[in-house]
Amino acid sequence: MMGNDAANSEGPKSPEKQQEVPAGWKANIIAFACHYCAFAAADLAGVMRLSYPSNVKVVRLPCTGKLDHVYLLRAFERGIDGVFVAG
Amino acid sequence: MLAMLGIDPARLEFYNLSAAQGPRWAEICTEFTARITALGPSPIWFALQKGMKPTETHRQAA
Amino acid sequence: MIVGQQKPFDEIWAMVRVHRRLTVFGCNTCVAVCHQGGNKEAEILASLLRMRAVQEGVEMDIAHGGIERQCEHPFFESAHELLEGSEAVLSMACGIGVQFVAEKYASTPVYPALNTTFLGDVKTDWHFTEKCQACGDCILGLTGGVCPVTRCCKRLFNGPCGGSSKGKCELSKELDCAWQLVVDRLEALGKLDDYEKITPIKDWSKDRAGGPRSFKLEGF
Repeated sequence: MMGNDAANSEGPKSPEKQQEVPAGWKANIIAFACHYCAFAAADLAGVMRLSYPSNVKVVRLPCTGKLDHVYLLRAFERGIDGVFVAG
Repeated sequence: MLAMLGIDPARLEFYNLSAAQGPRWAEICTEFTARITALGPSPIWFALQKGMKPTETHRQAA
Repeated sequence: MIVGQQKPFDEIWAMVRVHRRLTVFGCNTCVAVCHQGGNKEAEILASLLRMRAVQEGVEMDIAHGGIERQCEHPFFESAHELLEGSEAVLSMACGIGVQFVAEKYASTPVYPALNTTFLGDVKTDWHFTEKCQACGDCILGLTGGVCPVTRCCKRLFNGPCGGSSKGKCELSKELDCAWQLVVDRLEALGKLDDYEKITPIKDWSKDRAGGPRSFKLEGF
């Protein structure tokens, strides 16, 4: 299902110019996670020894209510490739 | 707001997740990474790359 | 309060792009309520401008800050250093604040990030409506607390025009006829007699027609 999303976002709607991807580039992703739900889930994933990509760096928030426009913008400002919020 | 700057809004996503959904977390990470990899580096990243030494960019992006 | 709306991003960028050291300066009272020009909006706009600058290859140092009110001297104390050190200021205040900053920092270019739109109320968190024109001669006492100068499209003073239909203005079905509101309210108050009183021709010299207005407290 997400595969479809990725395909869609590459369609003509994307405002981004296609540029050549340099060799060795790896997606840099930030996840904002609520301490009590998503962060616990991430912890559980670790305990269950599930493997997931190492591109995702997690920022723990006490609650996703702590999330601020500025956090997201700052991430993009510094050249982060993707941000997701889970909680 | 992101589209205004030429950044694909697909680079930002919100998920709902409970503490018991460890497998879902791994799934989300995998899916989202696939999506971003398909999109390629962010246009800001390209722009930063141009104006900076690579080491600096990596420090900034990390 | 004063309501403003942020200018289109491209317009803002075009104004400030020539500068190398810019301060985006929020005004945290009126225009913060409508989420257009507060200190938080200043931080967001600064971030967006930084990203734009990077993408266009423009080297630009963009800081952000803000104070409670850009229309009064004492509030500027905390931001004095920031503004003194700026090459240019992008003020997120209403037209009053922008001019105040420009007067205060005579050699610093000041740009408006907002279009100041009206004096209005907060109907809901996200809906703001115009309520006062600052005409300088209030008649709300006669009109049941509904301002015909602001809310009647024709600024009529003695009852509705022929375009009033089912309580709505002929300009738009979304728009209440101000005189319908006046009559309804006077009726509810049992003061319909006030409706019969003829309001004399208004002295517009107390409005903008008399030039920019000011007033001084006596013996202060």
